[in-house]
Amino acid sequence: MESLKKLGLVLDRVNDGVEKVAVNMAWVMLLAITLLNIVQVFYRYVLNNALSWSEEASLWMMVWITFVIMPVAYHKGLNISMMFFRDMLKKSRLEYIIRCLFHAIVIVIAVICFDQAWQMYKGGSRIELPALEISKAWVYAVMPPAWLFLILAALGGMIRDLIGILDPEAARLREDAAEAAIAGGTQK
Amino acid sequence: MMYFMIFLITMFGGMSVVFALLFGPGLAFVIDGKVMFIKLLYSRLFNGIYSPPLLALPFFIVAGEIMNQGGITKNLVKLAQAFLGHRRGGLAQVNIASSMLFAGLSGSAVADTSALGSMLIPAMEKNGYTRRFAAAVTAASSVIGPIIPPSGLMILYAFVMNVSVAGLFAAGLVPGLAIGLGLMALTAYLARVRNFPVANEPMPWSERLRALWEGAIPMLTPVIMLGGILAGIFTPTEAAAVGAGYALIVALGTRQMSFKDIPRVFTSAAISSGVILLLVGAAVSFASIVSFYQTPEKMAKLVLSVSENPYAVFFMVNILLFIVGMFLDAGPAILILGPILGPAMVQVGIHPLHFAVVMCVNVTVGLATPPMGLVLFVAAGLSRESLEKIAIEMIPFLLVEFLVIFLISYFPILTLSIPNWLGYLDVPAAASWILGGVGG
Repeated sequence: MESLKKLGLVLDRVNDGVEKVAVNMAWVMLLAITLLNIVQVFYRYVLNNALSWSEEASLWMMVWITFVIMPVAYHKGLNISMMFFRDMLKKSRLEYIIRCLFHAIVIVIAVICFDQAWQMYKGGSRIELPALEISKAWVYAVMPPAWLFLILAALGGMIRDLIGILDPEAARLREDAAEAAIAGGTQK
Repeated sequence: MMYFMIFLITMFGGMSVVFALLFGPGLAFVIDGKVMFIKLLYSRLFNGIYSPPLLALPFFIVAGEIMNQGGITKNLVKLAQAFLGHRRGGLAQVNIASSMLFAGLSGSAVADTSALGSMLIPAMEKNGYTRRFAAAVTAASSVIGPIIPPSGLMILYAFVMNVSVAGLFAAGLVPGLAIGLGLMALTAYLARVRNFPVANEPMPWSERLRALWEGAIPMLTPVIMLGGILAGIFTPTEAAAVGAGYALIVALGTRQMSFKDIPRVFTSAAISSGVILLLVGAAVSFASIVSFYQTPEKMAKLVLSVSENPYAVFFMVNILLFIVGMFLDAGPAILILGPILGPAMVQVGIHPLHFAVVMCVNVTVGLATPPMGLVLFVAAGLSRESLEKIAIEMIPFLLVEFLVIFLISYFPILTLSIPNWLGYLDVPAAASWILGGVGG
């Protein structure tokens, strides 16, 4: 139990670190493509000289934003889920078992997707983006690490829920306290 | 249909929708011995995201995020209050009118509820309304957000189902206005019956004009976005980017946002964008499996085996959508059911744009219904009133919304006239029966 808790803390720290870097990358890229597309409109309508590379660059960054946010959203529980039936289980041992199972499924999905993403990345070096004149591997490059970080986020969640299976009462109290703290912070 | 069963079980079990969308088909391929098709799933996931028409979505989210800043909401409420506050039940009317104005800015029902509810629910309570009524009006009117264009939900539908964004925006105008005006008429009636208070004395015209001027500046955002798209000046992506830029300039210029707020606003928009874009990618991947297994054809056959009457079919589909909307958020409902029901409904003879707008309105109304209505949760949280009491108070408002769904389902002229006038309607022969009064 103690070693599980320690491993959980280490993974939480890693996932928090990933979150900080990822979120900063994502908002800077989003600001950049917003400005780029406004500049593109100015060039197209005012200067009558459209930027040929703006769409490719925007798509590139949009893919990066999506995959950079993917592990963060998982770690923070921001993905859309249907909690109606699970809420009925009221954080019982059964709920922690189901959660663990779902984390395991996500890890399997992430491992398969990592393999696919790695194949795409390797194949991407043979494709060139026509306007930017760079390898498409640059677009794909975000995906393998994103799936790896998703595995870490799912492992972190799995360990938390394993502890919940072993001691559901303590886990429930901890989660309730965390939820109350978040609700308090939101109201402020 | 095994993939669909696996998907439903995992999604109802509480797995994130995005991973359930990938797991269902993936496991079905493994069971069917078609492992090589897993590669197809992943490439569709990537291509679903790496898609130029989808670029509009993050910009649209940025514009909404900026417009949700407190000061802009205040200007809209002030504008509605200047013209409606002196009537009986004035604040309830202000709440609905503000939702209609806000719809053009944010396009999100949840954002509408939290921005307007936090301001108007306490104000209505102070003015003598019950807390449950204030919460019910806020929740019921905020579903207008994703219906009056521009709308993020409609961009999603248009992308997944390959219908015109501009056409869908144009089709959403009448249903959105009809719900708003219907709710206002009901509120006027309730105000007389329950003797609701007036909010303020009639304002002098100088004050009304000032409120109009202050409200007009942010209200230009949807005008630029929608006007630009419908007039064919901008592509949806350009319009969304220009709208976001204009919103940023207004927010910074009117000091409703400072440069220090930019990271916070863009972080929030980036997280929302990332979550939605991955969901779209997974839904595109899922949609390709839907057509791989010929699910729409099977669904159409199943529906036609019950009845061949398009009116009856539309009724059944509306019931199904409403039940789904009660449990599932509008975005995932559109992404999952659009590719299955859309083609099936076209086979029955219903125009794609007509079904698109009915589906968007129906699942959006589901946001305000128990047991899983997101908007209802937010309203309950803000008012600290129980969900059940708000839900009971909402019944008359929901009846108005059902009436609008009924009208737009059976009178396509209401939704298809504007897209037809603007030239966004290509009428397939199969749909001509229903368009007799519109395009024919």
